[in-house]
Amino acid sequence: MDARAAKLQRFYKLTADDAVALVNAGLSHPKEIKKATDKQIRDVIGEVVKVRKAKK
Amino acid sequence: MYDRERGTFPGAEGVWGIQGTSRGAHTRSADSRVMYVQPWHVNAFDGGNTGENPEEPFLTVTAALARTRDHTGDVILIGPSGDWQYGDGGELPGINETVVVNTHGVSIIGAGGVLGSYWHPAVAADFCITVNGLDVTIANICFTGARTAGSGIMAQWNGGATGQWADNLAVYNCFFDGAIDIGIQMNFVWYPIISGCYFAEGVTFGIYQDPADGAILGARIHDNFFKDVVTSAISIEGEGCDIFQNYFFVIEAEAGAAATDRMIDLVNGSANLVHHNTMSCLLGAGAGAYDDCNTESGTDSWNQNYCIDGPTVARPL
Repeated sequence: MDARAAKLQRFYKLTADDAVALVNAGLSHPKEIKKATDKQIRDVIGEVVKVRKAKK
Repeated sequence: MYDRERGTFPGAEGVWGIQGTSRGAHTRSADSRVMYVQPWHVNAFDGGNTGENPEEPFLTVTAALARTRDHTGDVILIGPSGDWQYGDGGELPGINETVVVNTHGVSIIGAGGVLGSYWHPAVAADFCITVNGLDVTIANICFTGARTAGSGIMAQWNGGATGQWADNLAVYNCFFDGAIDIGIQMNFVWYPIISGCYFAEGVTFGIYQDPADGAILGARIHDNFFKDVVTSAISIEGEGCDIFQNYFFVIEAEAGAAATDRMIDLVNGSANLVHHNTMSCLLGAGAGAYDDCNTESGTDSWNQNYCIDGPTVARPL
């Protein structure tokens, strides 16, 4: 796992497989994950909630 | 007694004894290079220079950075100059560059001036220093936009496959003058330490993270003074940050006029500890009061912050 996936894994508390899948899909930074649509994320890791943190 | 040198590794030598640089992670190794930069020095040159002789310093920080190596504790010392904006017009010029630091573990230390060694951006609206490397220390630099308006430090993920994140950045004892736009901006930086800095009246954001960028985790931000920062002194999506013993003066807040988020804005973050800060505002929710000047994340702990009319243990609503 490269450093980008490792950081995403820890930041969002993802599984290693999910983190690697996001990086491979071009979503290697929270900035890109925030901009991605729910469908894009769901297609990669199944559930949107894994990377959508609760907002105030 | 409160000791500002928190995080210091006991017994570790600092750089020439400069306060704030004596961290264990930055202790020099036997192989460390100490390189000097002083643009006005009569014997200064870049091409073919090692920069390791103070009597033949580099002309530019760029040349010094080219000789740094990852994780060797290399140090770039920037000499004094006459570049203070109210001085002699820069007859002895300071640093006039925009540089990118990709070397892990390098320290850029100003060795001149009470406010630090003077540095202004070479390119208008650009950052003086962009940090991509890990474990980088920047200390004792006076960032000035008086000659060319721009910003101070940008620490960021560089988008590459190598995973450079600018984590563990340390910024000590730097001064950001009123013509600087953003003092320190960060993007997905973890565990930075920002201590002893002065953000002058006119700075737009003191410590800033673009809401579209990655959150800042585990920052320790302490002992900084924010004087009438225009938009927000600290505006980050902080996660588990410790923000303490900072000083905020906002003239509008002091006078009871609106000052929304002019001090600390942690919206969308989580679990930050914000304590023992001194703020020029009244308690409560009125215009320019504690709740107006600050925004918490929803899961923070705000303890014993001092307002004009007393301390509070409440989170700003």
